Amino acid sequence: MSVLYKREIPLAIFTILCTFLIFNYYIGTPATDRIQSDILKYGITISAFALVLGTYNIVKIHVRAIRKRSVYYWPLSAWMLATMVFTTGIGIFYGQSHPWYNWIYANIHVPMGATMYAIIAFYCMSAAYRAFRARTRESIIFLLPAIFMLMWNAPIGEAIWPGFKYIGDWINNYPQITGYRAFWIGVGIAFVTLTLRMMLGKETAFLGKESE
Amino acid sequence: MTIGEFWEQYYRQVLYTLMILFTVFVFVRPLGLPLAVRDNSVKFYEAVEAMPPGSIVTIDVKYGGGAWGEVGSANIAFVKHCIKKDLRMVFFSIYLEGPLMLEKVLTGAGGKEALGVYGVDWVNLGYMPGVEAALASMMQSPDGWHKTFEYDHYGNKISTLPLMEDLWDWHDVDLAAEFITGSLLPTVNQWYVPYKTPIICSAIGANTPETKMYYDAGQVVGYLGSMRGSAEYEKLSGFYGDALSSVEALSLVLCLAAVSIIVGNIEDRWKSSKAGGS
Repeated sequence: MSVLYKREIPLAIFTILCTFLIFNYYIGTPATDRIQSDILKYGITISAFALVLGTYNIVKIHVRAIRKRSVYYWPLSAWMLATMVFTTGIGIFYGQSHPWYNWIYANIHVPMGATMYAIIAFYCMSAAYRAFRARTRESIIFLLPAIFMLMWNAPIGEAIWPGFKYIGDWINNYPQITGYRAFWIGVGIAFVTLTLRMMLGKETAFLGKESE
Repeated sequence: MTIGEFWEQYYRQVLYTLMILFTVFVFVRPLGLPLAVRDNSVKFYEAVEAMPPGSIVTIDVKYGGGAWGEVGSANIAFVKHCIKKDLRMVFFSIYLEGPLMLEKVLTGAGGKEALGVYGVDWVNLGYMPGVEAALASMMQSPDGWHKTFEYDHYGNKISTLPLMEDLWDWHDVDLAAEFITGSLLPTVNQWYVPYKTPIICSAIGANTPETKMYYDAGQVVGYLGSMRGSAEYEKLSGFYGDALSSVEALSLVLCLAAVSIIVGNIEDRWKSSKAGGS
């Protein structure tokens, strides 16, 4: 009985909905489009629960860290929870359009996010000097386009040598796009295969079970 | 300590200092370096220019604070461009931080008053979870937008907003503008493939190659690639902003990276030959 509840019924719901959505894409009518629209609305509602789950998870991890004082950064966990409660409180009680809420975001979150992102540039710079070494033929194949693409992306590159534009354009238009397309076609085929396996009950990880 | 030993020990500090100096220098004393405008940026600009007054443009603010430097200034210039062209703007976001970034964009564009009358000239529908399901839901059924967003970001029922009386499903979207971190694939899948909705996009550097793929296939009308693309658009539209002033720093820092790779390799060869010789 529990197998029926935990596996067969969810699998049947999934398969019926998928089949309906696939067929409706090709032979949909205004009436079936409305049903599809409702199904999508359920999907949106369910995905909103991911936020609740995420919040629960982060609170659980940091409360445990504070209680046990098991990690050296437990004061940071406490600080994180305090700021989370404060920001969430303002959002819930005063609304997301409240000036305080926007101030916290624009003057604390955004600069910190931008700083974290900008720090990557420093790592890239030391990696450019230390790690990008042309020691094998394969590494030269990667390295030369990297230099050309850096100069192609720098507006000054074309002024230094017009060849950077032509070589950069060629790399961008042929090898780069070819690789990207191949990658995304592969992802598409894998996605279709995975969906079919899920519909046929061969892939059950999404039901909380290992695959067959 | 010899220069070689100093370099070996402190090369990181030297490179980082040079980066900071280059960045600060061009802000204090701009060099006036040339900026060639690429075809994809021209197409982005032309797509907005081609819109007749009163057209409905949907603007998906799909980025957070980290991407502000690359996409934010293009977003501000785009809003100013839409105001100049008298286009009606429908803001929404499928990214959690989007509505908050939008507040920054609106401030940069001259404040909410500059956009005209709320509900008539522009609306802010706020955040909608579900990514691809949300995008599909907006366009599919005859009242998709009304069914997906019952209330706007400020708590008004959207049926009370005059602009929304002209926006029901995919027929009513004249241009879709995406300002993104992450893939453009959900929008191409759900908006271009079934309905051929014209899409323009401003993407961060990491997503530019993917966006170019859709542009080459004709699925995206025009796109702006990273900070350089934003600067090109600011130059084209005449709405000068942060991207144009930052792009010179980008030029110098990218040159420094290229020189670092070359110097690193020369040093490596020199050390190997020295080790082989001894």
